[in-house]
Amino acid sequence: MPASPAGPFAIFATPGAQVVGTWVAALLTLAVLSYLLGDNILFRLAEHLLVGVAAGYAVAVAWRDVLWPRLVTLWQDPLGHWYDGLFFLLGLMLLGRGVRRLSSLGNIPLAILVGAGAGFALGGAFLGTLLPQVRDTIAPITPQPYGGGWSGWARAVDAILLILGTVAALTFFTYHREAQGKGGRFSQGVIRFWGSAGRKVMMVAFGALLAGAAATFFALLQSRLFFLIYDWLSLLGVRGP
Amino acid sequence: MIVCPACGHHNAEGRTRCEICGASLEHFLYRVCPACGALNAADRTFCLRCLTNLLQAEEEDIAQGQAIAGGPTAPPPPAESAPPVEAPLPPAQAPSSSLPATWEETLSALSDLLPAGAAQALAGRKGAPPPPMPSEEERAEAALFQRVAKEGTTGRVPPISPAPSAVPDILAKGRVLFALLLIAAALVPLWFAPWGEGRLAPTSGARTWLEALGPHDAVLVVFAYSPAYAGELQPLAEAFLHTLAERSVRSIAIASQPAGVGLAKEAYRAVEEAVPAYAYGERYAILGYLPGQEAGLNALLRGLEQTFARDALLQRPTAELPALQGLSQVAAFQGILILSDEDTPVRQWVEQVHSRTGLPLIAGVAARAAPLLAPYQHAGQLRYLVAGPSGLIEMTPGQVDRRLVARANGLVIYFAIWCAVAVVSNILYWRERRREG
Repeated sequence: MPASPAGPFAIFATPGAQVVGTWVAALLTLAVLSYLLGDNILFRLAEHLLVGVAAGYAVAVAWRDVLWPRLVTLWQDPLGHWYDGLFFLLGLMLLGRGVRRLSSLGNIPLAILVGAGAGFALGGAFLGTLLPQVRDTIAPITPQPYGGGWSGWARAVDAILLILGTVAALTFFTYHREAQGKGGRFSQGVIRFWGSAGRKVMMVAFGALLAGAAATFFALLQSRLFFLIYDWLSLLGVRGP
Repeated sequence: MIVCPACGHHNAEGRTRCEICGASLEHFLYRVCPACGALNAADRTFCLRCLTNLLQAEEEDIAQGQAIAGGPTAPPPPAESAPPVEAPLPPAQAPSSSLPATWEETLSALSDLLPAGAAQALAGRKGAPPPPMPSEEERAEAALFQRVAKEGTTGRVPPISPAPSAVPDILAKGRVLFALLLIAAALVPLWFAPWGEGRLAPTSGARTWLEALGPHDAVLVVFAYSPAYAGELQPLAEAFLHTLAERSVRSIAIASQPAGVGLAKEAYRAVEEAVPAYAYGERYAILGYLPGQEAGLNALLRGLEQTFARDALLQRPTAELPALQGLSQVAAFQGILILSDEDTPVRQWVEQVHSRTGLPLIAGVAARAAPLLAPYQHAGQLRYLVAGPSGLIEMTPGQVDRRLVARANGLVIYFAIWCAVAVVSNILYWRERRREG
């Protein structure tokens, strides 16, 4: 393979390209951070640039990686790759959604897309999520299967919490009729108690999700600030800590 | 129509603030689809639900409306010809001279008064049955409506000042202060790092597993994050790839979203600079974008060469690339490394690929996705879950620089600020409530 050490990335490694790239990135970063002072045209410009460039890049990649290679194979061997022609036809029919008179043509590819997607997703969710997760919830609650000791006890407590939390969260979504008789009121009380506990379990879960999202966005802020301090300011002759 | 996002009030078009609560309406102008009735953002050209061309439909409907109102047989609109009415009268007492002569006149006058949009589009839709002839009572009601609507257009509605906020002033004005605190939390650890790297680095085992691989092994690397999250995930991707490159493990990259191809190029470029012997085509390859989500993964399971006829960089047939020798099937890889900014792509790989091949999956994800993927790790479907700055420190032992430690330390300070703000704001809120009785 004749690939050089720089390989196909040689163009990005030129000093001029790196300086230009750093300046563009720094100015766009400052434009986005200017939102701290309020909505302004610089922020809007950066926002629209991001959306526009992402859309343009996506179209280019889809053409180059997905459509063009299949067009070539279809052109070279139409009989061997007849199914690619069928897919292109379906794709063209989907474009009909943009024209009011032809919009019904798009129903067929849309139906195939939705149907196939739902079929794959449902099958995968059943085999890949539902069954394994149910199986994982059925766990021993004694320390012996986990090897005993503190570690075994910790895992046993973890398993107990897992089971209780799962049952409580599922109970929260239980709907029932008005209780009748002593037995009915008792069962309703039990469901209410567990449902209330399930609500708190879900609140804890949502809190964990919020904390994860906050951590991600802070990491992104750090990334851009570090970029400005180390990469951009170094171009101006200022060295970071 | 602009529906206020805060209180749900329907404001007239052109308003920038809600008439009732004063909330900003800049981003909440909707365009009603004439075909399906869905509410679309104002800047959308095609309906989100049925893909109808909204601009074209709107223009056609307006043109139709104008043709009906200004046609050769149509009388002049009564809004211009009718004398101004001093006060609204009940329909029974209204003078007959102020009533439109025909029902067409009434409708054309109404079409002038109503805002152009969904109402006109629905009325003027092709194939719609002709409206029935209105009765005398309906004509009178229409005339009354016309007068009331006309008064509404000329009258001035006094601006309603927004209700005073229950939030204490210190909190309402503290947003900028909070933002400055966050920036300080991000930057201060560059000079002052109270917690060292050792305390912040957990051991998920992913690095140990990768270090056990050799030159004869191969890993499939999936880039499933957008450039918006590159700040968090690009260093993690480079750390993973660097570990593979140091051991000369072959890696084949694919992207489950278009931008992933560019991110993969960028990550491999950094790795090539650090490990020049890790050459494109020989030890690694970028195959390109894999569309189709679950369906695409099923297609990939049929074979790499069927899905990717050529690689993404050199456009060479994949069968000719030395890096891909013996790797025609996904099952031939020793493991799959998924780099993702959310849980969905990882879940799809677990459901569609791991459940059928049993291949070990390693997920390097943004911190926000980690809680959602923890159950899969607990169940053993994900072999390793690496997330956040601590995961990055784990993947780069011996190369930890000041920036990396600052990332982890800054996160601790950041959450401390959050806790402090939560406590202070609750105390202030409690005091405010107590003062109000």
